Amino acid sequence: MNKRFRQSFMSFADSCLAGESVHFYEEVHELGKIPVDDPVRRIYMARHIIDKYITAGATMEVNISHRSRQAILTTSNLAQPNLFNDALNELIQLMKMNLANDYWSSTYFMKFKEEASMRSHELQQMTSLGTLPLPG
Amino acid sequence: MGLLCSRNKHYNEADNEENAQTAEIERRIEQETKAEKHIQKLLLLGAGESGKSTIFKQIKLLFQTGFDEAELKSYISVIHANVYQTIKILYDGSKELAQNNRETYEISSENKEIGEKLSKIGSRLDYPRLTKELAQDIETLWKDAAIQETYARGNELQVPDCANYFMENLQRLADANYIPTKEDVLYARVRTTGVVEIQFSPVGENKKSGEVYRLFDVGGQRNERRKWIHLFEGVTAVIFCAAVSEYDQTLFEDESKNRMMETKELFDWVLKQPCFEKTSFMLFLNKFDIFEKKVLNVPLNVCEWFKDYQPVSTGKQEIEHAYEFVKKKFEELYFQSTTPDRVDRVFKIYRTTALDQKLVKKTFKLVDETLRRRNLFEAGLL
Repeated sequence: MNKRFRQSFMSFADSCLAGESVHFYEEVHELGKIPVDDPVRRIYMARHIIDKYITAGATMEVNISHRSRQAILTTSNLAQPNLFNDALNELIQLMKMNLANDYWSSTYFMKFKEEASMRSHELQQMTSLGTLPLPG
Repeated sequence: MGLLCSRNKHYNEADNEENAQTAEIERRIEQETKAEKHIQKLLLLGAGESGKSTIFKQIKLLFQTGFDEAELKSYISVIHANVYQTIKILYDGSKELAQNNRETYEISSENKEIGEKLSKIGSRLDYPRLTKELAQDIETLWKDAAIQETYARGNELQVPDCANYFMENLQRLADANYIPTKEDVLYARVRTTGVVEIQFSPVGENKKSGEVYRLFDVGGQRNERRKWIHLFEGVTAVIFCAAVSEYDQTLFEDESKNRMMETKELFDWVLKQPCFEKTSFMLFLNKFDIFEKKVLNVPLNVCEWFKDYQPVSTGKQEIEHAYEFVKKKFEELYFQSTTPDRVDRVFKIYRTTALDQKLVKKTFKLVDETLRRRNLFEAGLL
């Protein structure tokens, strides 16, 4: 999805004190770009994400279920591509239900729209939050 | 010096305009600060699923314009998601329970296929709109004896409180022209993240507008609480929600922790916050509707905090006795956690069911009266 749109949405989420879900989404997205045949970098990145978002009491701890958290913390393979899928799934639901509606009527979206109308092709690309794709 | 003067002269006109603008801005800021002082800041606090957002929705309904059709419709996807998530939790739960007790928890063979299909839908990112066919499948599975047995153990499975209500209304929810009712919206479960606020003024029967309130709703899970402190300054009153029905449940975010024990520790922590030295506390002992059904079947003393509880009778009397016991525990906790220099802050306890509009209206009227009286007292008028 469009990078500018994601940034606009992230600023909005930050302003509602709900930004950690979006930051987590972004970082898992980045993890998805690391090739599967580079397990060392994948593990390094996965550890970083766990320390920052998953561990209880982490600085940017995300709002996920006990079950999803435990599955990540007890995994035997940090390089596996689906490591964060369940957590991400829960968080996308959370973002949709909490932030989506308010975002469309926010000044953040207005500003994004204004800027995007100067690059009309981007506005067309931008789709509803309902189609937020899974990174990877 | 002369050079400086002549330069100044050159910019004089622009400066004047700028000064006027600055003065105007300052005047407005002052005006707004004055107005802000009038506004009473209220915080809804409490652990996850204690009912904060339901109270928040009720206040919107009661003192704002309510929900228009667009807002009602925006809840369709939430309600359908609640349905899909509930049936998935129950189906997956029954499979797990069946590992130790096949007789009770094994789904009948003709329903297994439906279960697998629905469980798959439940783990998708985008749920399909609820059709009559899907609703029929869900209803069939819901009525399966094993699912009902699993639902009876819902306290172990993070089944949302709205489960039964939506399952009993499946055909209506699946109507092609379905528009959620006010009640549906109140039942709809959304885990809150971050902070939302509304401003309102409770208007009484005599149309005399009273105080202006700004009410903040927040997420209740542990990760959300680190955000609360951003709101702690200048708070008139905390409305602390405690779900009294959750004494036999564990946290969504930590299934090794009993919800009531968490609430106990959380209430203690909030009470001790330095910012709340003069803040009034309105404790909502919430979800009484679930409590009164549960307490006759599940003894209070399953919760460590209530382990010295002894039931005395049956029926309605027993419900009252159990409720009074819980209330007393919270009262004791309040006074234990309140240092002597804070004893003059206001503390009130209300028995609530956040879904009950009449009750919430009545309760908020009492809260409003208490806070107004407090203001007069502070101003030396009482």
